[in-house]
Amino acid sequence: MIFATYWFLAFAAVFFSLFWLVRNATVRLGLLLAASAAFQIHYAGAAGVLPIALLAVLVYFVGLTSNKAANTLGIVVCVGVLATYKYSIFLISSLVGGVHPELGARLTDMARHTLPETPPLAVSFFVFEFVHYLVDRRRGTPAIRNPFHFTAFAIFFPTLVAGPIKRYEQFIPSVQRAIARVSPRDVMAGVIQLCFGFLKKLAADNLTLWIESTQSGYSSLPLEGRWIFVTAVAFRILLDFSGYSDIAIGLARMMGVAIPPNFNWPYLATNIRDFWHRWHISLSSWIRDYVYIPLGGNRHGNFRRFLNGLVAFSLCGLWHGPAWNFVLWGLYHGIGLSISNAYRQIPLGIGAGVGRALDRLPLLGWCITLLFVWFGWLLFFYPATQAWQMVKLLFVF
Amino acid sequence: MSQLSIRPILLRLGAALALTLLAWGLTTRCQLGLEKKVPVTEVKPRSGQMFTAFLPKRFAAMTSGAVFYRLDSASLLEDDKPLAHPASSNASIEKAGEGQYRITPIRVLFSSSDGTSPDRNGRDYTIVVPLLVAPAWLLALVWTASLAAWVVVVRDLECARRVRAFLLPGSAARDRGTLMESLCDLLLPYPFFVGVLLALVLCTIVGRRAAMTDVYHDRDRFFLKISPEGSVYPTLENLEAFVRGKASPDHILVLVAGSSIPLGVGQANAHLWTNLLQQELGSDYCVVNLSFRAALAPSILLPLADALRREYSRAIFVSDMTPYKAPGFLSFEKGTYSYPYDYVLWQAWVNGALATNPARDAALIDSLRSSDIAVRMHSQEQVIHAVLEKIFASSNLWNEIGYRHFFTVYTPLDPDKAFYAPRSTITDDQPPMPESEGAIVRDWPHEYASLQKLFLNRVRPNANGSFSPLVPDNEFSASVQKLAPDPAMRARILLLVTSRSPAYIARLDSREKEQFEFAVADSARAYRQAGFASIPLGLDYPVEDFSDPSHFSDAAAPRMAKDVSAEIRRMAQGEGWTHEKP
Repeated sequence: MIFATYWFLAFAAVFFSLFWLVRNATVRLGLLLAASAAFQIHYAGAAGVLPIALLAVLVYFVGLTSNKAANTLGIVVCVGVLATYKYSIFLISSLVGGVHPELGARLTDMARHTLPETPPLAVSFFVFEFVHYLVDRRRGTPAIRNPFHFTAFAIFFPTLVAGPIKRYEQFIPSVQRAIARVSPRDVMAGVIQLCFGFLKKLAADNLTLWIESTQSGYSSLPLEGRWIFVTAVAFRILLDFSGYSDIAIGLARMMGVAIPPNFNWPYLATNIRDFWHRWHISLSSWIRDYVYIPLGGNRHGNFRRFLNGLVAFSLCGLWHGPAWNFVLWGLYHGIGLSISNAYRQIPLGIGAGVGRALDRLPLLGWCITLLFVWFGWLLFFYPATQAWQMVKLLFVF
Repeated sequence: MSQLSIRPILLRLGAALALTLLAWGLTTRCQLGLEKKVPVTEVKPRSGQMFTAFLPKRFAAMTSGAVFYRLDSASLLEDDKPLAHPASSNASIEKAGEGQYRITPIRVLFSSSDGTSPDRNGRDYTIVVPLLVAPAWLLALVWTASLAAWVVVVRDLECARRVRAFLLPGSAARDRGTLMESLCDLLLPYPFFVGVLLALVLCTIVGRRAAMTDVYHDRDRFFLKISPEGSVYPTLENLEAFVRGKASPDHILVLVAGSSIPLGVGQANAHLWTNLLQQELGSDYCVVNLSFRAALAPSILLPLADALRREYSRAIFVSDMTPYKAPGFLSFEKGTYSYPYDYVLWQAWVNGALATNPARDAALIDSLRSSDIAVRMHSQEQVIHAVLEKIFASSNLWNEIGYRHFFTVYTPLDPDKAFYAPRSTITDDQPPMPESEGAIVRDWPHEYASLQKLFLNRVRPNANGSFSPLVPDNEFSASVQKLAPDPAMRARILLLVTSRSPAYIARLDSREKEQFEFAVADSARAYRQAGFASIPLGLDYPVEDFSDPSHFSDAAAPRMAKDVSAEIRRMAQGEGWTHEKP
């Protein structure tokens, strides 16, 4: 984890000391930008900095215009960059290779030689933020005219690597307030959240070691052992991800920059929709605002709503990584959400009856949601057939 | 929320407590499923009075986590009566019998209580593993479950809300962020950071004191579970203190710092070859084993040799090497020779403890500037760590705490030990079981590939019908001499070229066998030609002297000690430190 490296420790100690000591807002902003650039260069290298730099310049200038064609082009370029770096090999080998294996193999090989071994650092995050900016500009929100503010939005180091995905309308004013004055309360809130984040990461990393040592013998575990394993998987991802978000939000808060929370006790959700209002909030709201709603949302009847949900969640799954199990996981949640939204309409009173039962017993809804989500994690982490076997073994002595 | 009435809450909590006590009484009284029983079947004789049976896979899985069922609590019953002597050694079970036994994750080795044969005496043998949950945890779990059951059965969510409101007055109106702000009211930033600084100073003082302490003084070697593979990273200071704790400057120090082979993987602590080497050499010498699995000369031995050279003017350094190998100073691939031990080299470099070696320094600086971002970042991390360690001694502090007080990293390597247990409570590895013929057959393709890569492919047939090394002597010498440019230092480094188990060599054809033997013997000559001391080891050892394809067993320890001690005496005499005959 980047935040748990010695380089970052030394970097943060120097940066925050200077940031708090300096009083001038302009100098503070310059310090923030320099630090973010140094962070990016260290962890991404020249090959990793170039795409974000070029894309940022393009998006900044496109964002200044009101030209819809330029705006569309900017969005297409951003999505194209993400698709090329992160998904081209996957798409070629799956789609082309599925139809014409030889051609697929040749193209995959070409792509491997052309593209860097790993995509640029945080490409998924900065592309999403740029797309959000351009789409909102299309809708008429004001542009970020100040290039330094835009740069801060593009390469803000606490959220650069793993989110949360920022919204510029909230972020820019927050940065402006922070560079003007850092309140001691913000610093302490940030420190506390940072500590919580690291504690969560410690727990998550231990769970990871236990899971990795146990997973090969999953089928040999006693029944309670398998349930403990699934529980561990579920808590591992929650603690890992929310811990990382806490650290990122805490670091931002230590500068006085407010980043909205990314997790809100997701395992207390009583239905799937509630879950997605609590889990990776920045991503789920992005998918809602920039995929689901533009596709039509729920404005064109149940069938379109269902389809739009499936597309949105498939993309949500694919965003996590170029692999079919992520897509399947997304579809799984898309179907689950559709059922959750529509089950009351099941005829012959069945839907209404089930709805009444769940209204009277929220704990039942909570149990169903929890099991649905936890089984979904097996699909997220393991191949589909293996995940199915693992779920079956949860009900077999 | 308006005035709360406590009475309903107390009534509900009381009901939950009553349910809890009832459930607790039932479970403890009836022992419902609180232990697991595994029948022992297909018992086979092994040797002497020792019999063996393989256990089902679920047993290993069940005891592999330290969650509920621990291997060290398992016991063997003979007709429902516990046998008296668990965790006995093989020799004891074999010779004495008397119901002695040992349970491992995959098999049980045991004897009957009266000397009869367990496979014929008609008795039932069962392994019992009790559920070990601290009563407080179990009570808390049952109480929580009871309360949840109460809430579900009577649909009493109101109870949960009232409990929360009672415990956190006004909490219904608060969100999590406000709760955070309340914590901020308690912690003022300036006193907090002053406190952090004071704590940092205090930890630095304690850490620096720990750096001068021989933390691992009660150990003979850094076995797996107190090594980087077990999440323990002894610092350069720890290693130096380990040497100082055992050897005074008046001794002739024999520092053994190689891979798992000189570490003695396959040898129980009581039969460790370096302990026998000490006996062979006598009190003028002091043998210290600082080997680590997968480590080689550049990572541990050479930095330590440099760091200790002024303190120990009479020192011989022993490592192992595969034939004709000139390892680089750094390697960044997992599973290769210096990962994950290069941090010792970096610490020595930052501390200025290393002797002059232009090739090494160039390699280190190149890695800091490497165009490969992973290499560059790893090296920079190591340097920053070494600098911070020099100032704050945080790793030394953690090593002392983790060894003596508590740990916080789960280790799959010791699943029958709670992960927070201090490492000092972990016993040295038991030797692995001798390999079965089945294992040799099963692993032969893998082992053959290894033999080819490490031995056979390093020599080629020559015109005389014999073999020659692939790399000419002068080229090889120039390459391997970069490890220690000073000839005087090279003369004090003994490289052991270790053989492989005859069980595997016997499977080679006759020509390949000659090739293998040539590779081992001739590479020792090549190292000597380069100025090192070197002997082949294990070339004529029998099968019983190996515990697996490459590691020596207890039985080999005396012979290893004898062979190596002869060479060490010769080296010491050559240096003029002794006048005895080798």
